[in-house]
Amino acid sequence: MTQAAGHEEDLTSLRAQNAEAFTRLVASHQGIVLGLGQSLGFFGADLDDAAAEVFVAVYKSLPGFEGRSALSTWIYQIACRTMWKLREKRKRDRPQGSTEDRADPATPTPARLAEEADVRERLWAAVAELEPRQATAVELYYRRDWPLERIAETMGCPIGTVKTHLFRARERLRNSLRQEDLFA
Amino acid sequence: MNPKPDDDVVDARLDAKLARFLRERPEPTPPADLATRAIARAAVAREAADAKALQLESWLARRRWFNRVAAGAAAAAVGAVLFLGAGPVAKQWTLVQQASLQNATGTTAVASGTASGESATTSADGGGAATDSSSSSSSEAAQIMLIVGGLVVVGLGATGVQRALGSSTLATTELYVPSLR
Repeated sequence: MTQAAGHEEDLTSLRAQNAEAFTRLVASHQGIVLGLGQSLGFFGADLDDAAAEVFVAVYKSLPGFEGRSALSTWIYQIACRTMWKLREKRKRDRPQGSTEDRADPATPTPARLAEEADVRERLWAAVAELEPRQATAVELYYRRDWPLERIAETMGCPIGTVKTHLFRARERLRNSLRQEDLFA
Repeated sequence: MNPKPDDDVVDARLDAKLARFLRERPEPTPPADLATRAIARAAVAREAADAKALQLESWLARRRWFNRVAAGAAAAAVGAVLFLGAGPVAKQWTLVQQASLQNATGTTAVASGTASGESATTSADGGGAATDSSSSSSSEAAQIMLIVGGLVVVGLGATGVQRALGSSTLATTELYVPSLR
């Protein structure tokens, strides 16, 4: 009862674009949003910018939040749409094969890949190269361990489409990684 | 030499590896001021949108004002043409009426003159005078109508221009902008 009342109060403050309530909301959802951006190939300042864009969209839309879905699902829906758009924009702005967006030290550069030959890093890089929807499905299914229903609701598509994205993603990842990497 | 594993085995291993490796991936460090940055960006975006709306409204108001002035001026011009043209048109109308009347009476006179001589001419003259006066009165009525019509249209046009000039662009913009916010 108290928790429900607190939740309602929070929603009212959020709809009124209260800064404190919004800061709490950002703190509790930024992990998933940043992780999604990471899997979509955003790193360093680009990743921070992309996450900020997501929360700008959330902040602007808060007064219109009707509560038809869970607040978290609604936020991740906005996150997916915004990140996909940013990824498309970046693809248009930067020629394919450009590696300037991979300045993050944790991110494998081709030279580092050759040196370390780390399967993990190869895999992370390969995920970032997937189509945005495939990368999203992989991130939410494998990394976040979400059920297919929740992924479908967040991505705004049927469960069958999520399965197709996962199937194609696996196929592409299998092609990008060497067989010995898979059985190492 | 190892046999090539079938696709199901590869898929199962890839699944397991994906899950393990992706979960092991370090989470990115969240920027400390993400919420503040988002609020600031939203405010900037809102200001830009407001400025754009204001610009658009101002442009629309200017266009409305120009349309009103143009419509008023056009109406005033049409009215002036009607007003100024009333006299000559009426005069022309009278001349045409008189000419057709003369043609008609001449033919009648010729036709009846052979039958009853002088009396026919007299009656033809009388009829001509009657038609002449009716033609002149109808031309006067047309002239009056044109003058009155012209004056009305000039008045409407002038009022339109005056109203358009009276409502300044700024005043119109101020009326519309609060409703956008």
